[in-house]
Amino acid sequence: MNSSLRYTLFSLLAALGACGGGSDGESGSPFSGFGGGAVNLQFEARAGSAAVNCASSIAGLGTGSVAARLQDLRFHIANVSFVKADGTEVPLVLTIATHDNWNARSGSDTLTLIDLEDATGTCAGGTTAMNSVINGTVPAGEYVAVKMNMGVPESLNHLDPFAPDTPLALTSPSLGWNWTTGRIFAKIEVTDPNRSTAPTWPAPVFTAHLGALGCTGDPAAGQAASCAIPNRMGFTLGEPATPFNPKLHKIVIDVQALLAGSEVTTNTPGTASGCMSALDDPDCVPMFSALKIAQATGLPIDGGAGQLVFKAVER
Amino acid sequence: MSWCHRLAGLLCVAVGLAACGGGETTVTDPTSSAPPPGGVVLELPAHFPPPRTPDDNPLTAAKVELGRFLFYDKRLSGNGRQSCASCHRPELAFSDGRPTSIGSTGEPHPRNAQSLANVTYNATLTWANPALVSLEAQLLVPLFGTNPVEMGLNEANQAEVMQRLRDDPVYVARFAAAFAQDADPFGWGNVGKAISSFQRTLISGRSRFDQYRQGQAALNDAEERGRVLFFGEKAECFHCHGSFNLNDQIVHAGSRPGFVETPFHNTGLYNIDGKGGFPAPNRGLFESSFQPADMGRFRAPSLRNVGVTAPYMHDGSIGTLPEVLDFYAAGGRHVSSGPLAGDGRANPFKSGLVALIRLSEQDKADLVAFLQTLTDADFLNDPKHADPFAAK
Repeated sequence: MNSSLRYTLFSLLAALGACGGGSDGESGSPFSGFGGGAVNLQFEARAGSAAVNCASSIAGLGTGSVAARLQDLRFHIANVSFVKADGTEVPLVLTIATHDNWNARSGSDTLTLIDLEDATGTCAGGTTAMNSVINGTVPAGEYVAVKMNMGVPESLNHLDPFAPDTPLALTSPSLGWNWTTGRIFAKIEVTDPNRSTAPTWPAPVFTAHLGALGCTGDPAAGQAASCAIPNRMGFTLGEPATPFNPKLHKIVIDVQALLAGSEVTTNTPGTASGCMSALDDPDCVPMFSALKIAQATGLPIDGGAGQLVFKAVER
Repeated sequence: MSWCHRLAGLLCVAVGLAACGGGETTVTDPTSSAPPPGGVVLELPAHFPPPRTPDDNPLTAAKVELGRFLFYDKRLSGNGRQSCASCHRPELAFSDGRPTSIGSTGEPHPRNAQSLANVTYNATLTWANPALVSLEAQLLVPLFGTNPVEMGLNEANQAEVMQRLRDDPVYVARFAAAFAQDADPFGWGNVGKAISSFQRTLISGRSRFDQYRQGQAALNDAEERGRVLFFGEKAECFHCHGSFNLNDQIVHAGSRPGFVETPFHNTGLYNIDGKGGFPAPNRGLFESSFQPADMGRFRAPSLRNVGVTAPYMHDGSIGTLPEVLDFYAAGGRHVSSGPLAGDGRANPFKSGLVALIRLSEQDKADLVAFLQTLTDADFLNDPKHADPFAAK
């Protein structure tokens, strides 16, 4: 896509209000900005406008617009900041409890595991505990947007999941990507709704796993891998005309939008199940396009502008 | 000259070495109060360097012994059907004799199980993964991996599997002894430390070739001709298999950060698309780096005990040592038919070290004779490495 066309599309989307979260019934009065203070940032899973959980039937997934069930839906959000109209970014001071199951910090990096599955039904491989919020504070100010990454910061990505001092948010074995000595940044899996009775999907599960690749360690140190392909998604919600306000808005992760370009019932032979972030897996191309990550570099495209996966809606 | 003399004295102390002046290097248990020579947990041939051991997992006799039990214990797999030893059998130098392995749930593994002899010296672990640089980190892959499933531990069964260990009085005592400082010694971190400690004692350095190097044994004529070929510029085996461990990726206590070489090699096994392609999911370093030139590049394994670790290559696709030599002499493999057809000899990413070599039948026989001298019968039969659950 050439840049002018991309710009046109982006402008069109902005005009439609998709960036500011005006796409879900907030077409009336404009949002007021956020004045700072306590932040309770809420996340919710949807497929289009329908809520998604481990008990729901998800409709309209992928290029075949098929029905599916959730198998997993967990992702890490890092380094949340609030943005003023002039572009100034102010980091959220993350609230972290002692023995916190969900939140972690390393230096200036912060992390929250958002867990929207409860290990019931088709989600049996997950954990019963859930978390849909990020709590913290920001100083008083006039904020119009919220900015964050989906991923685990490098400073937190290579900890031993079983070491006693590793933050609990980074210890769940089912989010370990041990072959990279790292974590699965986002684990979103959907499965054939009739898998146990009359399966019809040629590949029974579509696994969308985002994580850093190209990792190497120093043998003399015996640890501390670093990864050439970071694959951390960046995105910003809100802008001066349609500001994001955590008191008025929550953040939706749209599974339908994430997988819109994927044929979720099949898997390209000779590639990993679904998309496990491999650069040469055709099944990854639509997903990375929706995430606005350049696969070759693992870096956000245009800071993530135009990403289709996260959007703000009214609380 | 021992490695202790070459290294700074400080390092010798740091890794707990004793007997620096002797013909053998030993590693002693820092928790042992026994006077020397008590408390020795590792005896190394004089031509082996002291191994690197993580600061947070010093080698102790209690951890090694706990690790030996865990290594051979099928209860450590989700369904109780496999232990580490299922794919790493001591009599096969801790390989499994299969072209490719099968996990506890029956899922096929795409790779050949590697020997664990001298694994403590491997700079990177597994066939082609530059991220895995410690045994503790590597162990999580077979324990918890899902692609493929090996031991089959997961979120749902991990507590149940740990409970099996907690319920066994033998383990209550052994975990407490190995991790006396921990209020609750049962945990996957400690399982990893113990099994890694056991693996660090799998030292193979008493083969006839080692005895020859130490002036304690002679090679016969065929073996000697093979040795000269192996280390010479005709067969050129030594470029990738020339270290004391007969490979080219070595880390040890004296290794400096930033200076450890971790080469990977494409040997021309495949060329399925005429553009150098190897069949997925066995494309080597490429699957980690996604750099086109890394297609088909794998770590050169140690050739210690190579006489008992057949079949060979990352996918077990060459059955015997004479066939391996035919493959290298031809400068790669031409697969003439089937889905893997292609001329690996012309693989554009092939290592420059793998070229057509004129080896006579006598040369090949001599090389095989030499390779057989790398078998360490003491290692294969060492009771210290044996299955503690085996019928007495």
